[in-house]
Amino acid sequence: MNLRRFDALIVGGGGAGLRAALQLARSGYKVAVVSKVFPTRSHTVSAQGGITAALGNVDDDRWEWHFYDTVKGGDWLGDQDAIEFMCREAASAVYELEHMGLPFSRLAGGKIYQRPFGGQSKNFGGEQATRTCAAADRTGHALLHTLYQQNLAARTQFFDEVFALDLVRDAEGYCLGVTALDIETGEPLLIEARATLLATGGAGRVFWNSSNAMINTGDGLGMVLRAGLPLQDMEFWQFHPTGIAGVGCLITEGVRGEGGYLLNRHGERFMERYAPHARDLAGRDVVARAIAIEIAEGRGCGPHGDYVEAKLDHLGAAVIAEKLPGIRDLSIRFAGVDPAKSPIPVAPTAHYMMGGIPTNLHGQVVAPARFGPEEPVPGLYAVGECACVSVHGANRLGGNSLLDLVVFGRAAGKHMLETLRENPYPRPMPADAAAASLARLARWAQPGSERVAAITDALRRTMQTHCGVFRTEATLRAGLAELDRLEARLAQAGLTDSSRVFNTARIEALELENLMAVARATLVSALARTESRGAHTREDHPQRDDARWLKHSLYSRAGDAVDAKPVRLKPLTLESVKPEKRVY
Amino acid sequence: MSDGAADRIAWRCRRGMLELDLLLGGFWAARRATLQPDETAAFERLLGLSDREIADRLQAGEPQSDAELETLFDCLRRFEAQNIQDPP
Ligand SMILES: Cc1cc2nc3c(=O)[nH]c(=O)nc-3n(C[C@H](O)[C@H](O)[C@H](O)COP(=O)(O)OP(=O)(O)OC[C@H]3O[C@@H](n4cnc5c(N)ncnc54)[C@H](O)[C@@H]3O)c2cc1C
Repeated sequence: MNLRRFDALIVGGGGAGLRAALQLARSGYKVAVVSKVFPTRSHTVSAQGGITAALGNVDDDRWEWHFYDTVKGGDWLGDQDAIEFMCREAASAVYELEHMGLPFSRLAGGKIYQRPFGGQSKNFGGEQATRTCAAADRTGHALLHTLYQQNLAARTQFFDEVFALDLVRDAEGYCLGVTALDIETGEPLLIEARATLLATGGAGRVFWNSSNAMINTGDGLGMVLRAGLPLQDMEFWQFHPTGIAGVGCLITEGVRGEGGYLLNRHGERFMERYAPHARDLAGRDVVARAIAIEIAEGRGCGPHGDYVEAKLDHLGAAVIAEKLPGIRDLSIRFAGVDPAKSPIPVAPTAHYMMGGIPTNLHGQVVAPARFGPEEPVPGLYAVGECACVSVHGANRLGGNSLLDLVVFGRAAGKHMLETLRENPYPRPMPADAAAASLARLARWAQPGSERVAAITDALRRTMQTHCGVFRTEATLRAGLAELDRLEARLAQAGLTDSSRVFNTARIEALELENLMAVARATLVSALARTESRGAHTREDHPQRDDARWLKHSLYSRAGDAVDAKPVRLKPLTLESVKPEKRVY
Repeated sequence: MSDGAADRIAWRCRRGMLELDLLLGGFWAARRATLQPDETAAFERLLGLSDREIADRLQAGEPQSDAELETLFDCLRRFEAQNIQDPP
């Protein structure tokens, strides 16, 4: 088998992976970035709204307020040390991007343009703050391209269209790299490194209605589970309130930040009932639930009453064209309406995974072990949407994901440098390092009676029906029973195409295995958590229950076990924000 | 065209933005059998553009120097108008 050796390996070429890679490549180490699509086609490219940092360019602001909002936004499930770290580093991370050449929009005086986003406040819960830095409505694209160019200049080596299969670990648990498949040639590869970072992004394709691109199949999460490591807080999925009805594509919160608002079939601005203060800019989970209730109670719009409307024509064509050009185009193309003239039909869409691979502040993957609940897995890191550090807690605030990518991408890169210095030589590679991966590939060279695409569709519908905005024990149990049936079908699935070159059917089969693992982690964790918190709404347990559930859940594949670990309520230097009722 | 080449194009329709996944992937699945070789070559060139560039050019409709690409963008706009504004 083809063996490639690097100092450091980054799996994933989105914002998180590229920020970490840059730190390493600039220090002169040999860094490989493996990505299943060309890196600049990573999902980061679709981030429209912006990146949050308390620069105070438009209005008074302080990173401590950002910290408070993030703790509250996450319904107290976020670790307050990690949140403090992120909010404190935010300004420097954004200025660093500016210096790298990220073309931010500008205010009249030349400073970086900022817009208000949901959940942002001044003075610890006071008036709306204006905190999200934007490059028009294409901040993610600008960020990704800037980081990619910087990496090219720093001589990061890219393996494009290479699909990572499994982690390789030795008997002592050290991560030694990954096995992978070159999509073009069909050749398996063993990529060895003294430090490996997973930055494989989200898994939103596990739901039927999703704002996520097709590549978001949770591959890094599947790799971690197969390696016997746990996933954290997998019951927490953010349903973005405003996906284009029936399609899923996202209408950014920036639309409401710029003054757009939501209406039901009676033309009522219903958010005034659910969040009298913040109204349309309340936390995403609050707005998504409000829309789901309006629809469920018969106040939805359209012939089937299955959406509400986002109105922004009152902003005027000029403001829409200047501030939200992509959104106008998107709604013309996918909803057939020009928002400068008519409202956009919207409904909640699965958008972001708050849970993921548990890590510490340095991006080191942690797992319960002999000496404690959070021991680093040597040589293994994770950053970005696939990771759970946990800054987003039970519900992410808009603009905080791009921030998470660059702050923790940089932190992980720095820590990986230390690991490389302390471990100057590669550890011996076990003889059977690739055996499990080769067996998986061989399994997908066989024909079978079931089709991968049909199972993928059924899986996504199952998750949508049984594990959506509202959940109960009965829906979750039904979802698990359905998942058992789908897993039995998966065992019978095979491929008719056994070619090696660009065998996309095989890649889709491997992705389905990862999606299945993510679905099970989500359903089992959601069933275990008998409370409602942030984005996880149990109709049969409608209250937040801090006495029993102010803790992270840790799902392990072995025996479908759900364990727990404490939430870090103590920040690094600030006063702890004590749990209180979350009202907007 | 070999299956490998068609599959390569199918994979490169995987994008960072869902809306392009839907449009480009849908277009290729529907038209791969009927596109002429020069049209297929133009489609591969189009896939080499960045997501934003594709989205912008779909939106702007400004004439470009590459006539073949421009014809293809027109074709994509028509395909989209027929298929996506009225999702199944
Ligand atoms: C429509 C939309 C708009 C958004 N807007 C905002 C916003 O305005 N502000 C904000 O903060 N957040 C926003 N988000 C969220 C944010 O964009 C994402 O959470 C973030 O970009 C994820 O970045 P990442 O680097 O973790 O992963 P990604 O950018 O998803 O990159 C993942 C990488 O991993 C690679 N990969 C995956 N699996 C494999 C494998 N098996 N082998 C090899 N490579 C693999 C992929 O090729 C890719 O390069 C938005 C999300 C969506 C869906």
